[in-house]
Amino acid sequence: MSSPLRLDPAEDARLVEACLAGEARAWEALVRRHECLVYAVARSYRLSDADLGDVFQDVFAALVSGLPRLRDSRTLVRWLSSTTQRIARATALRRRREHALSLAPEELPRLAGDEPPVGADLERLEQQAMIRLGLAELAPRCQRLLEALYYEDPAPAYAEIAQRLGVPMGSIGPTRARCIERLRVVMEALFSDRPRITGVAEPTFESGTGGPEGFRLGDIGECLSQPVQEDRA
Amino acid sequence: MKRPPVGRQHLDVRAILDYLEDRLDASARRNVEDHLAGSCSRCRELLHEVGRLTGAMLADRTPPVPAAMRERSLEVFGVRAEHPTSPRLVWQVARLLFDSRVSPIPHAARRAMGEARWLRFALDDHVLELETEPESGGSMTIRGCLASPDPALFRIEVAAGDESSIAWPDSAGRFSLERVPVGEASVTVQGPGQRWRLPAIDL
Repeated sequence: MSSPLRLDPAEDARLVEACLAGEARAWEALVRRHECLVYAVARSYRLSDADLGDVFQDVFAALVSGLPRLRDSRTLVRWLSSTTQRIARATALRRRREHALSLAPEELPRLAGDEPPVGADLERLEQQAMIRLGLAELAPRCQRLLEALYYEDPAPAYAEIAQRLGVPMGSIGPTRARCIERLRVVMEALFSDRPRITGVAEPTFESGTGGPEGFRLGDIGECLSQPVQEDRA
Repeated sequence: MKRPPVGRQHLDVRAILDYLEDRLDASARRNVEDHLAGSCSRCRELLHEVGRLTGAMLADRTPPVPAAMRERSLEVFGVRAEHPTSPRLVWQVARLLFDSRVSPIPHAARRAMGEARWLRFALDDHVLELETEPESGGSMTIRGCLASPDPALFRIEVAAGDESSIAWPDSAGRFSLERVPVGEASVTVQGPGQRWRLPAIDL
């Protein structure tokens, strides 16, 4: 039985190496790790579902070719966001041109009222992508708590979170503060390119049931909420 | 309600979160605001940092990627039977084009520059400009601009003394590094598929 794939911010280089060696599972992990960013940037161009799917695939096809020079997490995130923007924008403009050509002359003035492709605030989406990578570094309990508090809309009440996680309600407030503190440290390391943090205690719930565990595919956030089969032949 | 932060004590992340999420009673809230209004820049910075972090998470409402879409992206890997082999990046040496310390420049320009030093390097088709300026306390500030079609994909590392600092240019190619120790500095620039070493710079 193979061991579960682990995701953490320092793994991009390793995943790229494994992809270059032809490991399909590493490619899947790399896609899952960065798909939210590609999806978020592409969606901002208000493309049809079919075009959105094409852009998504084109970006990852380009990534296959670009793998050897994109080992670093931040470079990879920037490359993915700018490549997605370029491909999505070109698609949106092409559709707009096609639409213009399909109109009868008397309908052309209508085009003036059409909104142009919008595009995304890349910096904001890159920051959100980096935070997702940072979240993946936390213990699963921290991830689940922060996902519930900050990614669910509307955020569930503390009582509901406590019930879901099987912890006392009074432990939610202090634990969320420790998880945010831990995330700050992880983010600082990600942005300053310092070596990965080692030996920093993971926050635990006051009930003592928390602690470091491996992050596995499908653990993080709404965007990665669909489970994946981890043990494959 | 929750724990009222103590007057002069620094705020911790929990107090900041409770404040940002409006979980404090009036008195605790006033204590936090009094502290933040005082001379404690450290707590104000923490407030902004935690606010930015939680704000970015709250603003992230990207829906799940449809499974069919992901499947298509997984297929592109299989299609390429031959994966590109990893090329070994060789270090190239950037060419010094200009150094205000040794090149003759008009007197007026030198006066305007003050203590700053300007350097320009050619990195194949890209041009890197650096301006180094001494700070108080024996360190330097390095500001720079990388002229390249996509400067945001580059990473610039300056190693001086026992320290190493990394900068990522913005989309206009600008970047800056502060508190770089004086002494001989080694600067490297890494971009997609290429990397360069600059000739050693004496800061």
